[in-house]
Amino acid sequence: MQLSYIIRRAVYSLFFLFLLATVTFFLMHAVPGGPFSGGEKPLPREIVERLMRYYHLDRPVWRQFLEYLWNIVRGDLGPSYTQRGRTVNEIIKDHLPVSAQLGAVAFLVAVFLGIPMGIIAAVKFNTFIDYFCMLIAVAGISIPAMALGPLLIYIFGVKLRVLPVAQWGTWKHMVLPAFTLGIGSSAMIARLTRASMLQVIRADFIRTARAKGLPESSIILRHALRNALIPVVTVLGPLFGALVTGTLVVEQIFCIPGLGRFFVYSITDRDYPVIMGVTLLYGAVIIIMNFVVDASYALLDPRITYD
Amino acid sequence: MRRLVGFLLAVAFCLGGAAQHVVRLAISMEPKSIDPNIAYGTEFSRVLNNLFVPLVDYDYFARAPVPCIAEKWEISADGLQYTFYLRKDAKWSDGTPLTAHDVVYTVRRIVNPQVGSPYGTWFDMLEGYGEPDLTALGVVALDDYTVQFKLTYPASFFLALLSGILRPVPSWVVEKYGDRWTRPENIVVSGPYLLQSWEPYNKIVLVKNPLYFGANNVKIDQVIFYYVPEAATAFSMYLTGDLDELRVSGEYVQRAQADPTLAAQLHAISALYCQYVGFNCSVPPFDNPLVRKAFAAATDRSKVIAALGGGADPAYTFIPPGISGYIPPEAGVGIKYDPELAKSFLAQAGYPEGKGFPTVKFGYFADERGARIAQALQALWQDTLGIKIELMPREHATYFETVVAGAYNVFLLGWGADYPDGYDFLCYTFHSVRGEQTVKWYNPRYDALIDEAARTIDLGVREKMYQEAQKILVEEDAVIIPLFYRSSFILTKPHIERPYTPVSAWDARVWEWSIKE
Repeated sequence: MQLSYIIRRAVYSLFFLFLLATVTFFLMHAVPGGPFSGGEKPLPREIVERLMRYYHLDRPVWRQFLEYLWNIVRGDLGPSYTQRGRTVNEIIKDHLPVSAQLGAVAFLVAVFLGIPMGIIAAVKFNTFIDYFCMLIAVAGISIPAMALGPLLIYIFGVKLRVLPVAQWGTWKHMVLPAFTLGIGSSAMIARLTRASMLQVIRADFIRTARAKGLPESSIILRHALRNALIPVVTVLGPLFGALVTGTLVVEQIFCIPGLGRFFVYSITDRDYPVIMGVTLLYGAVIIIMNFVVDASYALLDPRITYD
Repeated sequence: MRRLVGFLLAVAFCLGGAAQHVVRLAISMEPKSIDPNIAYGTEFSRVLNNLFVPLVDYDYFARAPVPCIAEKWEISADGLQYTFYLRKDAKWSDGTPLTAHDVVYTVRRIVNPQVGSPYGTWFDMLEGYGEPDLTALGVVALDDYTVQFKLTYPASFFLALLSGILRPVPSWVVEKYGDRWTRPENIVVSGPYLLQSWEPYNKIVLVKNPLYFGANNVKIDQVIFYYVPEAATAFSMYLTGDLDELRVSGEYVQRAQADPTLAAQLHAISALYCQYVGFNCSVPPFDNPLVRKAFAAATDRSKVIAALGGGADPAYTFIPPGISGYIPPEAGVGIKYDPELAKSFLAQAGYPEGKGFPTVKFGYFADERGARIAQALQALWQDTLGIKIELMPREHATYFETVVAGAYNVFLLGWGADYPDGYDFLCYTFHSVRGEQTVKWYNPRYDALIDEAARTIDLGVREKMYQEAQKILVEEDAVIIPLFYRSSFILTKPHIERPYTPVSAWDARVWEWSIKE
């Protein structure tokens, strides 16, 4: 991979992030309502005006945008409106590592359940084992986390009492949420791996490998799988990005102090700096993951090069 | 300073010995702030009321203000001057004495527009309110332990208001750290507990404050607030013993009632909250009181409460039980459910059997509760009055301003107590000048009663005025239809001894709790 290519991509990426920031900023300000107009009990008008002044929200939007851009350049993502005394930098610093840990484990669960399941299903194509694997995959896709989570809590937390119901801290706290989060993705990976493997297995070079008398395990794992992984890797990148930045439902059910809830509640709260912060963060992660995916293509298939 | 706190913590720990009494509670929302001058809403007071003591406290059983930082007070004969004498053993957690100057600083801070306190407009009865020079404000320290408030009118609810919102803050810490003064590493408190740690969206840990003036009576050494947003998870945590106390609602109340063990741990109290339907009285046909009365008479509260799965008492008046001005149901005030009467009201208004009545725009806050109430009301009104109701759900960020903008004919709102006086319920809501401007209604008699009550110190006379005003509100003019008074259900593990007061609905006065040996 050429250095000039990497630099070019970095410049594109920055430009893309700028576009993302601009569109998000003006869109969110165009949406009716403000950060102090909701809540369980509305604030008096005069107080809302005071708060708008306090956070400079009484200034024209274009001026707020320029101030915001200047602050980002200095690495300051601004204050949170709903949590007084906390900055967006701190929110990301406190909650991203938790989501990243959980997301990474869930990703491993997804990959190490999904890929083997897909391979086995493809090798045992149209047998009972294939049907069984795909049944699990369909169930994994169809059962939402908000049903699976409480079910797992009830079985392992309340009835068997082998794992904590919720909270965050030790590895035990991670088992149920990581499984809840990973199982749906593993199902998707399994189906994708199976479909891709079925195509590759019928290719000529696999027949050649068989004719050479290679052991079956070597044919499947070294020759077939490597070629079958390209479509799988393509979805793994964005999937990893989505998992490590946190997911609302699993975090709410298991009381995990992750970043996922900020993607949703910052919008309902109109907490503008938090909306901007998490959107830009997610954009940056997706850009990086796509770059990693592109780089891994070259590793999987030597015919692919970048210049 | 931090070293001192650390040392005191260590001392407290040694004195407490091995038998540490810990209680674990749940909060369903992350506190937006624990600054007592900034935090607004009910979920936050659960934490901060354990950290900061008020100038005066309130006894909900005696329905009277009781001493706290102020050990006694005098009110001048004209009701314009309040002098508070502070206890001399009140200290901040860094060892500084809590004085009258802290009280003065805090009132000025609340009123200061630059601070943006949600309570900023509540001290408008003070002399010098609204002047740029805050030192002109009618609150002065006569000496280190005497503070005097000067009022422009004899605000009868003044002590109740103070008990609700005036918790002094340490000026030197606020000035030094700004918005970050409530961080665990910076905070200095006055209450029964110290803030040991605060992990946002995870847990908040409080430990007993050895310098609190009532520390000898505090039995619980440590309080842990877990952030548990999901009701199902919270219920499971209570079952497994991860939580010692839990407020439940909806289906979990029914599940607890069905189980004999849990039913014995369940306690219901008034949540000091009234859910109501308001009318935009400025737009025809709802400018006609007969139309509003027709809707009120067509409202079967039992159906609405059933749609929510219980947990509330039907309301025909506005002020909930536990607040001065409450009218017991025996008094017969308000419009009862009477379908025939409803039809005749509508016919008198010129719409026999609902003929020619325009489609009604019914706004409500788009969550499950709101939807259930709105659908129940829609069915009732359509069936009884023969008219068409259009449901208009709206997300919370814009719901209230849409109501104020007059976009609906009928809307669902509620009001919970800020401080224990009927004034809070009747003035900030429907007073034509000081109110929320939701109902667009003006009745000089109502405004005059509220203004007069604000100047009437005698609680008995004042209550009569609140009752009279409510009669206008819910019966004569039928500006709102009160639906129900919300109840709060609390589960507490049997090893915990605690009082239940109306504020228990949102508060956790852990310093009053103990562990049964």
